[in-house]
Amino acid sequence: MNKKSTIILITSILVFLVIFVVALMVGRYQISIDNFFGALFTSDETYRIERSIIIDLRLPRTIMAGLAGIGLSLSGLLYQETFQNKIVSPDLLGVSTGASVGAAIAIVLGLSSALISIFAFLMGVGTVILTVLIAKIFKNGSSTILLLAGIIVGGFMASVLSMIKYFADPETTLASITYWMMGSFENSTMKQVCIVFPIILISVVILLTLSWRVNIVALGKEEAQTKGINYKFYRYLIICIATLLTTSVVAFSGTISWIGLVIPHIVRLMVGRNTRKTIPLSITFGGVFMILVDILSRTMTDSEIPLSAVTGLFGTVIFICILLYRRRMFDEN
Amino acid sequence: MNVIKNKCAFVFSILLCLGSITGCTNDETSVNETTVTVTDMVDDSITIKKNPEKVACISRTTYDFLVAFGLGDKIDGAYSGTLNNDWVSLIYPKSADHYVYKYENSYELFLSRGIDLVLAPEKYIADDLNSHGIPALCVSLYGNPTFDNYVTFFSQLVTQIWDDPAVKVKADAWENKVNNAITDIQSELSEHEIQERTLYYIRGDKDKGIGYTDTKGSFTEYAYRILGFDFIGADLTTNKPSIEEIIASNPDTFVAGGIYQNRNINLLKTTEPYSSLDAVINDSIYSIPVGFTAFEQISAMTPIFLYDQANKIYPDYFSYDINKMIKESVLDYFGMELTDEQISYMKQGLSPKGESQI
Repeated sequence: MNKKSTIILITSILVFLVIFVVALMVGRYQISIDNFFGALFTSDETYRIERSIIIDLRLPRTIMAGLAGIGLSLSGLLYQETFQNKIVSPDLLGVSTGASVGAAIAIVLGLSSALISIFAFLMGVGTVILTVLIAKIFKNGSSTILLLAGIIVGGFMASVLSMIKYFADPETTLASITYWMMGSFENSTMKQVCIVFPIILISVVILLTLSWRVNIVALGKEEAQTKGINYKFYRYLIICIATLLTTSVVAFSGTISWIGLVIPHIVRLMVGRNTRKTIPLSITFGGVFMILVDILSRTMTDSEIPLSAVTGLFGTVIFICILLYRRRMFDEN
Repeated sequence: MNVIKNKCAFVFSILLCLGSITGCTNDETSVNETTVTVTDMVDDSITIKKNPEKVACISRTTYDFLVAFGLGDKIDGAYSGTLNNDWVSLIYPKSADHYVYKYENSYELFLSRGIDLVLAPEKYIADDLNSHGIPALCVSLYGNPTFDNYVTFFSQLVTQIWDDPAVKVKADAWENKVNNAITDIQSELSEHEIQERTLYYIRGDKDKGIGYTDTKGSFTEYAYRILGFDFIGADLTTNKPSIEEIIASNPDTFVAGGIYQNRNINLLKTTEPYSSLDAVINDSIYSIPVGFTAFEQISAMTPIFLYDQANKIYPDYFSYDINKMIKESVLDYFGMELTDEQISYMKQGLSPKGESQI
């Protein structure tokens, strides 16, 4: 890492920590700074409600938001690098639509929130496996075939989802499916954090260790093979990790759009394409962005605004800015 | 020649048939041409057939009233959420013959079933049906801006649509009971210095937890205002406030209705930070009976809902015999005599067998 990248990384880590604390302090229930510290660092019963709001409500959802931001940003980056395509996002291989189908089935069956997450996770993973199997039929290892298979399976899953939504009760289950698909950390618990955290942690450790190999895979099959690495193995390993990251987040938070597309672009704009730099920065930038989105979604109105509505608003604006910036850079050169 | 004769005879007979069919149609039209123009809850004037014989009750507030006013045989079907209730099948066994409609249904379904009138829950549904030649009135759960002017709206609408003295007697009697209940409660409360307190209503007809309530235009807002409360939902922009919003409002009282009420009350008492709220600490949590409909929904049971809540919230001022009222009303409106045990279950938000309705 060069000096510029190190400074950006340290700054982003500090911002991450600050925004994390801010997220615990702000919300519809106003907590003064004195009460905030009183609730956290004393056992005074006066602060019972404040303590409960911070510990039981805000802490799990903020951790979950951070993890979701990290997971989706990383998987977006991995997909973009692996497929050498800068406009792909984590749901490229149908993960999100597959997970949505799983969640929708569970909601229609009236299952508990835990089972909704399990169904979403299994269907998300199942959809990617189906995509890979369909790509295998063509006996062509190119990324384009895998991308096309992703579009086919994603389209099929979207149709299944439409059918489920059509037959769902408009007053009860349809509203739940729609709300789930727009993403929320409202029902996040520490139990969920305990499930998602190890998955994200292990994935991050593996990615940081393999970051230079991701760089080589991003060069394409021919170049990667000349560098002496097992391209096929590492490509599928990266896809597996990206899928696991996306599915574990989507299963507990619902589908969250844009973040996996926008954050890698911002990071690349700052430090270039080297994944040894972009992976750590995607972690901090993704976490900060998602926690900010969560703060906005729960403080702007008296109800919770779905995450995808907020990420969509900011995502489009940021993406246009990125394109304009790139255009200007291109013109200057 | 014979061929021409045969053809002429054939054409003549067809013309004769057409003439007789047209004649019959004209006769029938003259009988059924009695129409009535009524204004629905969203101020749309719709001309419909008077005394309709086949009504689809998609709006939840309508089925109960029609049965209670003796118009059960005019109902073709009702919304699944209305019919999927053990109390409905117990109190009104004929409900088993009624068609189960979805919230939104195809035009062809109504046309194929020969529906004379659809009582729709929302304006867009009514507008859509009317534009396709299916007579529909909007009977909403919400008034605009409040429910104050809509409490007796549907009962009056029924008497305009059905020209039947027996129906009018029942509708008028119900209106008197509602007006009496409101007057009784207001006059008693006016004799005491009641400090206005805040109230949060948990709408438990769906599995949406504590963060699901009613807003300004609802009947519950009106009812609890009559009972001297500042209804928290009236100031909300949504019926799904966040947990922090509920905690920040720290209500003096919670009321829980619908089939999920017992689960929601338990959640309030056992989950932080709800359990730290004043209303929970002071045990100021009240339930609402669930019968043919949830009592807090405008229905034949509305007077009893008001008396029941007055009893629970102000035990020092009111002591109405709710069991007797329920028994008499169900017998009067639906012809069913409930046991004391069933009434007890109804008051606890349970099924007729005393089981959870979830």
